[in-house]
Amino acid sequence: MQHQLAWHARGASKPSLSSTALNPSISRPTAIHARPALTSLAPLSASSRGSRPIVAAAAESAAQQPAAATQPSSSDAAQKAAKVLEKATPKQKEWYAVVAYAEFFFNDPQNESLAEQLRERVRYFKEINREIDFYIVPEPRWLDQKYPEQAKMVRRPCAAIMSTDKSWITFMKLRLDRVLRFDLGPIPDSEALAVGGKLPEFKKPEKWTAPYPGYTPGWWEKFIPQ
Amino acid sequence: MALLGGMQRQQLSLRTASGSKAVPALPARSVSRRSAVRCNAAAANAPAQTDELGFKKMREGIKEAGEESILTPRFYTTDFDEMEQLFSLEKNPNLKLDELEAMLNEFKQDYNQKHFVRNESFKKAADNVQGPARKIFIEFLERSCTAEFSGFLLYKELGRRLKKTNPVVAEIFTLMSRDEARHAGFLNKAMSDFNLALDLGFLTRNRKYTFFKPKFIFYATFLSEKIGYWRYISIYRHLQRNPENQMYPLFEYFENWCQDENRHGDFFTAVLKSQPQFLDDWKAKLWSRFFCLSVYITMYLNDHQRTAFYESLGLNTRHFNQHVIIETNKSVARVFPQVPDCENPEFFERMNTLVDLNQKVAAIGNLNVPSPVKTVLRAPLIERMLKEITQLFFSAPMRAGTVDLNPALQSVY
Repeated sequence: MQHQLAWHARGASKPSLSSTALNPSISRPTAIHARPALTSLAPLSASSRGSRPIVAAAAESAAQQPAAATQPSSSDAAQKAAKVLEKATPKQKEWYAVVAYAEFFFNDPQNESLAEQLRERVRYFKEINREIDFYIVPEPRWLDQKYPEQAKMVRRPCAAIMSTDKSWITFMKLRLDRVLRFDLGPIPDSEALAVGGKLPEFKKPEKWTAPYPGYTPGWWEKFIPQ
Repeated sequence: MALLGGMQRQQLSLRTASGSKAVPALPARSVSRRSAVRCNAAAANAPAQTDELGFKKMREGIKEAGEESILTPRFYTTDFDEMEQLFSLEKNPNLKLDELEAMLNEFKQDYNQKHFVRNESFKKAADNVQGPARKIFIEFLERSCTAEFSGFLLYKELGRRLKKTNPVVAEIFTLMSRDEARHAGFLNKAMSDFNLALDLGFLTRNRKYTFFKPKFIFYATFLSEKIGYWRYISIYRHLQRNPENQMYPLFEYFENWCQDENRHGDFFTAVLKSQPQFLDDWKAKLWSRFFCLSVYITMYLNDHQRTAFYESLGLNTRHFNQHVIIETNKSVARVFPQVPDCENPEFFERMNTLVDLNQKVAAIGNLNVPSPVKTVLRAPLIERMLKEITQLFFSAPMRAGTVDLNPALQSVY
């Protein structure tokens, strides 16, 4: 239990024993994670396919170690400069997100489990004294600013489920499937969590087959950053 | 049940598991050993006692397992060598691990570590469940407990067997068996509130194990975990709004409980995505539909034979079942390459016809006539049922699958 918490305290998931054993390069970051933006669109990039080489997976794990991801160049001088810079500025957390049409997240009986999950996670974090590291960001500003091409694929109004816990976002992508996944890299919290719009009042879905009413709209409000 | 037995011989075998899990039977190896099965669970040494509800007891407070039939949950076994090959990192260096590792982290959190704690209200509530509801309720607990315990046994063994070849997957199976053991134990304690617990050790040693090849284990357990989630959450949310129907505190635990089921299902999604050969050819499409239909039909028929149970909770069995099927189908469509089109009105029309026919078949079973006569009477009904099922199978399916393997499935998010 303690061991596991330690991993989370660093906001990283535990690299598997097996991939470490097969890839001595795990401690030496490669260029892949230096520019998270380029490899971030999971459903479209080769990195999400079954054919992805394990090295890439290992490299991604390595990328979770914060020090590695801020070094853009391989030259010694640049590395030193980066280290100095890193000391001077407070360390930025790496952010991860899944994005989709707001109706998909908040007005589809199929995805009501999202409310259950977030509630469960809040309860659990309280039990283990862990600080909340996940949010719902309506119309995230970074989407149009940083990813104008992918942004066109998203119906509006949209929302992002965001976290600094990469492993959890990987899990959320697996669960929800029909969402775009983004690895934003180290960016200031204010940028990651900048809200660009409001969530609408959703109309009740035309087909409602459940023998129970839906969760009260607005349950998501407490997850929206202030 | 006789009907379903007949179908099994036709290798179309519909079989349902339990309150929580419905798993289809395949033309499995064990079918031929079917006759040997009936006797074993009952082969307790002590002479059976029968309680006032008609349940046989192995000894005081311990219920003899219900007779195994096509409707009771099964215990599974599989080809462990093939499992080892599938997950071996040496043989499959490209095995997609990121999602499996993410699942491992989710299971390690152990969200429900402190959840399954009983209180004193259980025993009292159990004493208040009387009359016809009591018997149905005990049967529900037994089916659920056996299904959870069946998951425990399979996952535990897989966790043990895969330790060397794939420590990540092995640990996940072990953690899932932890969850299943908790669920089964909780249900068995509930049974003891009714003075009838199951002897799970005895079951482990004496129950028949059904063999499924690994890919069928994946399809079947995936579906059974997801349908388990939808059943539990639907019951929970209904009772939350109608607390007067909450006859026993067990259901209050369902919300957190079924998150485990949902996560187990997600793990099998990750497994299937890591084994795209089980998703991307025409065989995968046919098997996907076959498994969906087997699970949906068996749950539908099974629950319609137990409407008294759902009605005692204040649920309309048909409404509840249709919702569970529609939503399970949507969950499943996120990875299976094809699923039945449940929202085509024809789908539930045929399902309802099956219920009517099945009821007629069951009624024949209760007639006071020699069994060869019953067989003759049933034959035309069974033929019509098979026709309906065949038409369900061949009606236009829906294209489905994960967007990770089929980017064309979704161009707008």
